Amino acid sequence: MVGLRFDLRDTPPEAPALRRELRAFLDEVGRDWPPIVRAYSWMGFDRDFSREVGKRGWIGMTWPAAYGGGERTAMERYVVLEEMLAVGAPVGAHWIGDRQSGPLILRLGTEDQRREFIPRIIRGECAFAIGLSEPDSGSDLASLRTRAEKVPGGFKINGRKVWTTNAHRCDFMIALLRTEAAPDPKLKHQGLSQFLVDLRSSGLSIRPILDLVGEEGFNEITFDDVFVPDSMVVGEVGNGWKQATAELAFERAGPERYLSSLPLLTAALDDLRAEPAAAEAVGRLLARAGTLRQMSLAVAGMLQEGKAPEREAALVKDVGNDWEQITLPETIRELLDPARTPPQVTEMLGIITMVARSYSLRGGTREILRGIIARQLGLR
Amino acid sequence: MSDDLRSILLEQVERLLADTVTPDLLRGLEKGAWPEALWSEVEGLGLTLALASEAHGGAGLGWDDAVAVWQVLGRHGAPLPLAESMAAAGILSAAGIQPPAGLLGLQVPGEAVLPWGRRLKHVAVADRAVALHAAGPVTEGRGSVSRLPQDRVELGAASAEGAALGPDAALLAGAMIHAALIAGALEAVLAMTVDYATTRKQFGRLISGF
Repeated sequence: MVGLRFDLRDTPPEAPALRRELRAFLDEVGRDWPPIVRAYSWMGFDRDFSREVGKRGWIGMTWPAAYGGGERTAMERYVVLEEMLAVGAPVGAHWIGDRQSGPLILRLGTEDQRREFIPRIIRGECAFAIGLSEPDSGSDLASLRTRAEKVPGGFKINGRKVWTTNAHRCDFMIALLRTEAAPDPKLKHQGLSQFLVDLRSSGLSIRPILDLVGEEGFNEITFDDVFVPDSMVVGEVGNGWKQATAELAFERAGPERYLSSLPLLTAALDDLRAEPAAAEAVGRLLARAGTLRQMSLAVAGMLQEGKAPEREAALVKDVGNDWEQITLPETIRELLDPARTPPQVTEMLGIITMVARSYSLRGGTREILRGIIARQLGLR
Repeated sequence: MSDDLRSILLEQVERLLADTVTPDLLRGLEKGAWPEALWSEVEGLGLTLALASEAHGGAGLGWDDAVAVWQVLGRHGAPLPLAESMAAAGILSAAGIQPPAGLLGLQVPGEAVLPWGRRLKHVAVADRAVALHAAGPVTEGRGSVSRLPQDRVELGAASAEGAALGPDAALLAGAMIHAALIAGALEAVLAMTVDYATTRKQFGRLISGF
């Protein structure tokens, strides 16, 4: 069987009660979120909100109780993610930690690292940035050149990372760095290592990059002799590529890979309900979402079982990106009557139209995802 | 306008914008800085009145010529409300009203928000009849999407009333302006994309070569 497998999963019996709890909370705290907050959602950043989410046990839900985790199921966590994304909650201050940095530290970190970071992530007090892309290394990530050179007691970092979402607001980054020069371009996957880097280290500077909307979401980070102690190496020195690839399965596996523009649908539905002519198009939109949701739930189920569904996640992201980036916003644009659309819906459509360009770039471009899928099918 | 004349005009506008519209100028615009020097150059070229008839001091430029000029504006990030001002002069002139010199606003009935409203002395209103109004009190604002000043302008007294061009005149002009600006912007984006695809390397190859 060369294909990819998606087993049907149901959300757990606890789901409806959990959903009610989340909706009550989000209705209350999200009352005054303007369109820009909802449109940015998991690219947005609101530390107070993340602390509130942490207080309710909705960060690190599946993690061991020994570190403050909730020991609940991946399916319950999935319910929380869905509810957050549906209303466009500004979850960025805890999203990366909850999704990939925390699981990575739990799996490969030292006991000291777990004790230092996991409880803080769970409380919504330690925000993580992703340290992968560089100016000359995007899709070809393994060609990265930022060096971590061995010095007494630790490593000295020199180079640049770019497109780092919210780096200027985050506390730490897990950076993939070159600890040994590749002996040959073909062996570039060797000699990479992962580090926990304090974003307030001396020698580290962060320069914002304005996005299309005019927000400072992205950043460029320059490392100029930044010292990182040995105790901040994640996993094994030299094993960074394998570790980062496994981390990417977490990065690509979540429902945010097809739900980024969902707040637009939520906002527009109030107006579209009154339009019988819109029913068919909205129905088609939701039917497609139902399929994507089943596929996405299947991936969450595999993660729960400790598998690394790298290829299945790539497929969900590729198909899901089309829906969130093109299908949903364009359907809504065609259905809304500009003369009668409330200004907040128009504004959200404008913002989503601009930020949606990035959906199929971040976390792996279409081309990269299709390469992964093609390899699984034996095509390359 | 003859093809020759049109290409001379387009070259002039292209050269002017290529020389002056720098990233710094665009950044300044987003912060609300009016590009005074560039505007004077544009007025000096006679562009603001170009769509007005020769009798009204214009060049009798055709709308198709104007669209070509607006495409050039779009290529450079549309740093001025020049297209709106040109269209206002054209509509006033077509309705038999002498367009005043300088920056003009063009108002669609019921739509009080105008780009750079704070700079306007006159507003052309295309309702059932075309009229020229003095600009009244302004509430300054900022466009969430365009990032340019989008000001609410109240209308002052009408100083002239002209023929009726139909209630859609301003809407159609607006649609034409934005289609032209977008087409120009897309030309620029295409050029940048091609440039990037033929210089950016990943996996040791130009990304255009995969």
